[in-house]
Amino acid sequence: MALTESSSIDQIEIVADWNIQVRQATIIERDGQFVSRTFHRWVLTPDMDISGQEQKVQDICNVAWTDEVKAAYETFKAEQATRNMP
Amino acid sequence: MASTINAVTTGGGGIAVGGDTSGVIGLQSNGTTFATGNQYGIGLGTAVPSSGIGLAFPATQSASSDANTLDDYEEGSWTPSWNVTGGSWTSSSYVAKYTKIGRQVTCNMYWVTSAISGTKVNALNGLPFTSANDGAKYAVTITANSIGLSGAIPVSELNANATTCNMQFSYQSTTGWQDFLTSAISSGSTISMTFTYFV
Repeated sequence: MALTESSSIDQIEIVADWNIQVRQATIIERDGQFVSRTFHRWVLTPDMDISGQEQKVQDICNVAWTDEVKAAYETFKAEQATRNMP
Repeated sequence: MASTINAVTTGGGGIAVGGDTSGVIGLQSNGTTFATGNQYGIGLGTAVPSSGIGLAFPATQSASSDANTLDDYEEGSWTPSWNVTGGSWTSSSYVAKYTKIGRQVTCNMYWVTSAISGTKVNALNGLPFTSANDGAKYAVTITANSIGLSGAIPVSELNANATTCNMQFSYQSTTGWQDFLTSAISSGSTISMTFTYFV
């Protein structure tokens, strides 16, 4: 009876222009038969260092984060800073 | 036991479908399987239940525009981190989980401090989903142990179209909320945060 575990990025979504939602699925199998699956999630924004991300995630980010999108994100951040809590 | 399909003629009538314990029952409409049944429950769309007994949703949501349709369920973990001016807030351990039901996401996070530096904590980062871009703000419930300043409690909120929770202190005797100063935190301090938002 052999248990194996494998992890992979199974979902990359672009949300609201600049947010890249990433999901990693970890699957455990016993003798090739599915046993369980767990998810781990994170969201990337244009101001983040993505060098540690998988290449396919970096590729999506680089396509989505055009100069126009980056500029819009910086504008959004500036607006957020002024509408923070009282 | 062999698979069977029987007409039910008693009561209101209907169709009874049975299969053996290793079998799978598929229900189709227009040539597309919309539900699968086995000994573990019922799967919707491409989902196949694999343990316990339950209702399984597809791993990738097929969003419905109908307000009365439940179209997603997912459990998982996320990685919390902090935006700290001039420093960092590190942990000796943490637990961060989420559950998404339809468009509603509930997150929980428990953080045990190992070290803190810098001047103020601006935000909790790393939320698993982006909040809906609808102009809303969401309240965050916080409990903390050994975090606080005299007459102040930590407060937080999540903005629309965001993946961070802003952090501040609310003082009993001061109007408005103030900076979440790192001087209020020490090694061993713990903080728990729970919040629910829409995506």
